[in-house]
Amino acid sequence: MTGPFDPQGRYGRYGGAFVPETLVEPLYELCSAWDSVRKDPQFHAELKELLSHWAGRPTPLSYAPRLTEHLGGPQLWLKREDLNHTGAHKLNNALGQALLARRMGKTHIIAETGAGQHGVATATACARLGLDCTVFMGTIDAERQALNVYRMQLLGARVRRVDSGSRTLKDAINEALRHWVADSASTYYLLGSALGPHPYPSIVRELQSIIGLEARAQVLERCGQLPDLLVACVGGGSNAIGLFHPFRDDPCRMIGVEAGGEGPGSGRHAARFAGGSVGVLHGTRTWLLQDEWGQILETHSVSAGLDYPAVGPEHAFLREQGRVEFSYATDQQALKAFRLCSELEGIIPALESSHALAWVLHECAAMKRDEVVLLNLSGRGDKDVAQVAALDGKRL
Amino acid sequence: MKAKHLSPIQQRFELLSRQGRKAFVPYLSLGNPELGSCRDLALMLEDCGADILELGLPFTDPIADGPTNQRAAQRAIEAGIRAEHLAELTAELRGIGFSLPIVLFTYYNPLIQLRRRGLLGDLLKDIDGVLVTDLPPEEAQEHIGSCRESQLDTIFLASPTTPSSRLAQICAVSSGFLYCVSSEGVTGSRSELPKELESRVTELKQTSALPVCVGFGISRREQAERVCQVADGYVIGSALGAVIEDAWLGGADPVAAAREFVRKVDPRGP
Repeated sequence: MTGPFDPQGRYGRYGGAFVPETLVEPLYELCSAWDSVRKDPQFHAELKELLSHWAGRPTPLSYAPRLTEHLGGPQLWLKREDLNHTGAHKLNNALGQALLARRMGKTHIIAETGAGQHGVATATACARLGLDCTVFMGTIDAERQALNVYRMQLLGARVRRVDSGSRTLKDAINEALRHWVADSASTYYLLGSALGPHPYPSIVRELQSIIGLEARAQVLERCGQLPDLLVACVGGGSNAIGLFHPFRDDPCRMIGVEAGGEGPGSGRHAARFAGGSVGVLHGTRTWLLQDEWGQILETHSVSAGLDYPAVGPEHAFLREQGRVEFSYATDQQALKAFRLCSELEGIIPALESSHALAWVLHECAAMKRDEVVLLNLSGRGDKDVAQVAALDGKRL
Repeated sequence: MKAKHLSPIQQRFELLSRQGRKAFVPYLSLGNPELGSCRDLALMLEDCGADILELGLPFTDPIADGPTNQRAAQRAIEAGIRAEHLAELTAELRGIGFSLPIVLFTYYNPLIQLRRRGLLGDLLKDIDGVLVTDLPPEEAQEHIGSCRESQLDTIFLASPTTPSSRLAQICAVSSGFLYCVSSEGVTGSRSELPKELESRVTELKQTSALPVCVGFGISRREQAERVCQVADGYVIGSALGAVIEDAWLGGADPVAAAREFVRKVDPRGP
């Protein structure tokens, strides 16, 4: 029987299922349900139908001519997850898991959200599939992403504001887990990133791999070659693992970009690999920002979606293997990239994706002109407009 | 049996069994409301007939805890309470003759860091058992090894969602006693305990020779009474924590308030 403690839930010394006893059995149930649907052609047909004719996949791969010119080095190509329904890659996972939940006979979906994109994607999938939905969101995030709170409510979801701890994504996950512990029989916890206990990191990777599968075929067709470099931002790391995974056996360099906040020296950041160490949080063993006593540190990023103290366990493993390199971009660098992409490409990127772009702008100028950089533009920045305006001293 | 070395927790249950009594296991959150009052609360609990003290080491992200224990942990962390203070408190208690076995109740990450820094044996030297809320037996090999090395009992939990097929595995890695979680959900008072409670405790007692204590959600005398009909002991945590918090916030004496609460709720009588 497949279960949460299986070897495929381990990524080297990372991963696993560190959960209260009450959640062990629900994880067994999830493992076995996932195992059966992923082998079921009907499930894949149903998911594909919705992704194609409702969500708008495949998303395009766009050449970015003016950013390429500005950079003065390699060709920059953007995988346009911002054009996915609801404006980010998050729907790929939310839709797949909502279908899974319905198959399991679960009627009530709970989810956590940081930037609100996963919450909106979950609320959207639940509306489409007729499932009851509650989204947990830290009060600080709910304030800086007020637009997404209202979107979730329009979609028929309940938004529960979480006022404990640091009042951000981490605390929203705590509350969602507590809720799940209390009612695991009828509730499905729809986790939004490549995080948490097994099988979540592998479910999320598989559902997000459509990004890399499409991008790989598109770049081969358009450029006649594989990309030399893949870049994605990493909060929990779902858009990154979705892009990277299908390229894992290709000779492409891969970079994950974390949130540098005000700089790793400042103590106000979410660059786990730059300032963290190994520990256990939210059911998985991975790299964390913590103090010497194992207490989880508060994080900071201008981007709510990257503002989280742990990184997905598979990223920790891929870094240790030397397969994926990690770096960070600061708030200021990301904001600069946000404006530049808007002005030069006519695309307002999410602040999360702007971190990946900032890294490219900072690090890639020396690459050759015939080299190809493929960046995952994981979401659009409409949700961030009010926040950026406020930083400019403007109230919309 | 005579030749075998008994841990302090085992000794306590031996004694209880000889006396035909049930165990009262109160829980205190370290640093709730303050470090000094924790010492006085522990002494009061011993005086009131407690058998084992559960002591919570706070963690920033207590996913198995309800609001009362969350607030207690957050207050303690904000006040700078750390594992060092746990060692200070337990050493002080032992120094003034506190004789109850102490079980550390915590989350895995703080323990991992203590182990990594080689502090586990030192800081837990006056502790007798460890219960980690987010550590199922399958992930606990390293933990069990280091606990055995430091002569600490390892207490694992069985919950209402645990299938019978896993109980033997949980029992096999447990020592001291088994912690039976009364009902689904986080720590905190419940208006009612589930009707399956008795059959679950009976099943546990058939699976293992270990004493079984029931916790999560017990806040009233009749609940404790019902648990004592079938189990070897009962745990009171959040309800006691709430009484302590209320007294403290209201400017009253937390120790006096807690003593009155314990007298009211403990069904075992003098």
